[in-house]
Amino acid sequence: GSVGTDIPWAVKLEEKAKYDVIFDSLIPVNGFLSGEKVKPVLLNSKLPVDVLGRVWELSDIDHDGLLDRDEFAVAMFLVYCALEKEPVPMSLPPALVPPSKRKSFSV
Amino acid sequence: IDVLSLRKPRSFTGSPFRTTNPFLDESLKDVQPSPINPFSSFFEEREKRSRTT
Repeated sequence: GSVGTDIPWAVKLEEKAKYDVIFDSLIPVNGFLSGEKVKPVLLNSKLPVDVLGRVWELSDIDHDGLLDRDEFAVAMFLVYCALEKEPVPMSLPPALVPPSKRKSFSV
Repeated sequence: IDVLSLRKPRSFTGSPFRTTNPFLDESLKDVQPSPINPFSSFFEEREKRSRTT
């Protein structure tokens, strides 16, 4: 693909650490969080459901209905963007694709 | 890839597919608010900002 693996991830290290703490506090199963666990947390952002739905679509990169650590960080990043009144993109910008997903990621 | 089929709600039962997007189903009203609120500090911060201006 044309997605370079050298673009730094938009999620900063210290932000990732913060999101990891939240991720772990939700008690992931085999390293994954189900939608039922993530949903109430994202609803706490008080964002409209359609915005959160888009956030989920973008962050569940492999569309398995589960979020791993990196995907969860993307979701949190997008929710914070939306809270700052930044529009949620229609498709995931390459910089937001976790480095661990870039090999299999194609646009 | 058939993009249109991805957007169709999969409401029929016995489907091998499941709705991967938890925000698309209609069971939102059953969701209990999570005690984990990573955004509370964000809201406090914003409140503080709006109070000082």
